[in-house]
Amino acid sequence: MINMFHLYKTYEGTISALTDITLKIDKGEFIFITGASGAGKSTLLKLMFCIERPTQGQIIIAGKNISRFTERDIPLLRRKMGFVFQDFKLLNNKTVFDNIALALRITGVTNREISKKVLKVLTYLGLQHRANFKPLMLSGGEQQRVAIARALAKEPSILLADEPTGNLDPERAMDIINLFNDINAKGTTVIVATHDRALIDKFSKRTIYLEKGKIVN
Amino acid sequence: MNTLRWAIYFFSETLRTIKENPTTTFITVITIAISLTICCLFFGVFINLNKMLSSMGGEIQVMVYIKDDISSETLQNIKEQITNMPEVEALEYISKEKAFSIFKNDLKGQTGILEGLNTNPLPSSLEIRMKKDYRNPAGISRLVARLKLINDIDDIQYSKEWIDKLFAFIRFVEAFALIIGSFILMATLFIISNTIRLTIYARREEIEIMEFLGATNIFTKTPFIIEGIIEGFLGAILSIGMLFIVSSILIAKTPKIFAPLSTLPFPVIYLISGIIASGIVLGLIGSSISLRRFLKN
Repeated sequence: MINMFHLYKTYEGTISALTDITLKIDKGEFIFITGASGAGKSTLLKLMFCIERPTQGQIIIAGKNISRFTERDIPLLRRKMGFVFQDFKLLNNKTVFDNIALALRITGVTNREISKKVLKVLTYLGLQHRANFKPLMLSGGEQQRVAIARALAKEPSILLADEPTGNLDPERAMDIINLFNDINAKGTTVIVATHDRALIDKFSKRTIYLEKGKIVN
Repeated sequence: MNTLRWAIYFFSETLRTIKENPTTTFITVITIAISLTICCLFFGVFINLNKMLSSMGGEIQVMVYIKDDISSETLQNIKEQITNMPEVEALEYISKEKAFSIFKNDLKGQTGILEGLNTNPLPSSLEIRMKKDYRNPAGISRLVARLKLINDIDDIQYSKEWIDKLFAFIRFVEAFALIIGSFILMATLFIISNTIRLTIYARREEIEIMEFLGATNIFTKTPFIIEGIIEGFLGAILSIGMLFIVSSILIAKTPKIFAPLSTLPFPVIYLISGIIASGIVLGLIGSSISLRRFLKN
């Protein structure tokens, strides 16, 4: 599903964020990427989502070499993937429903389809009673679930999450990872970057350890 | 159907952001209105000034004095030659007698000066009115050169110095207007694009989120562009109001001699549609320039 070959990422020509990363992730896998702050976890996810571009090396996702993607190709890649951020990145002036609907509207789904899909995903995440709330009226855990709902609404084949539990208490954090586990069980490839050892230990999943931009397994 | 759905979405998005950010919308509309008003006042006064100066060129006359002892055939021949010159619009023959009576008329009350004058010393002449396109120093020089080739002409008179000064002044005014006008236009575009940029900057997070969700640039840009166009349109309407107030004050307060400077240089309908079109174009260009700084494509 995802193949990375000798991937390097350097910032401003000298600051090395990732060094010689070669990694294969199979379809339907659940993977944790861990390491200390600044180890390169976020950079690796950003490369997969084309927020950053590799300095050297190749990334193949679903048979496509995304390291050669032009700015024009990126939106199409992002529509097939979901990305969950630590700071949720919700639009605070829109309702929960509209936040999720936006992800679908962008892809050209009809209004009727949008309503159906948003309600389905809200029900799945237990948020149907929050549909008309604005994000700032919700708790941190609920906001993160809205962000996950938005990522899931597109029915992505790959779900990336960058420190999704970073702003949540341990109990809510566990709920979120349980949710990812459930999503993964339905066939979605899930890649979670976290520095939370307790979570990694609790779920025995394949884990990639990064240290100063290198894989150290 | 698809296009209609997009159009409805984009318009409702634009109206929503305008409703959510009334202050920034208001500031942008006011900025566009004031900039357009200054531009229009400047160009209005410039066009009127240019018209006024050019009409002064209409008073340019070339006088051809004819030798006394020529036959009527020769005179007829001279008249024909001059009438056929490309620069000449009209020709008036002033006979010796007519010249003398005009002179006497000009000296009303002081006719004593003419006492003892037994002969008429004034020559007969031809007064030439030039065609509009040739009423400039180069055109006059060409005409004079042609006239000099005609026999039986005694003298040619035209106010060379005055014409040269007038046209040098017109050229100065045009150059001045071109430089100042382009500065005003650039400043207007700069101010408008920066004002719109502030509204976009305030919503950079929204743009970033849309990009992460897989929105194409067109999808992200369109509501901002529509917003720019709407603000440009509203600014233009406000500017028309401002212009009517300012011009009516100007017309009432300026001395009569400068009155032509503060009148409308075009029919009102052209002026209104021109200002609205300019407002829309300014809003469109202003928002496009600002968006380019935030979006990669």
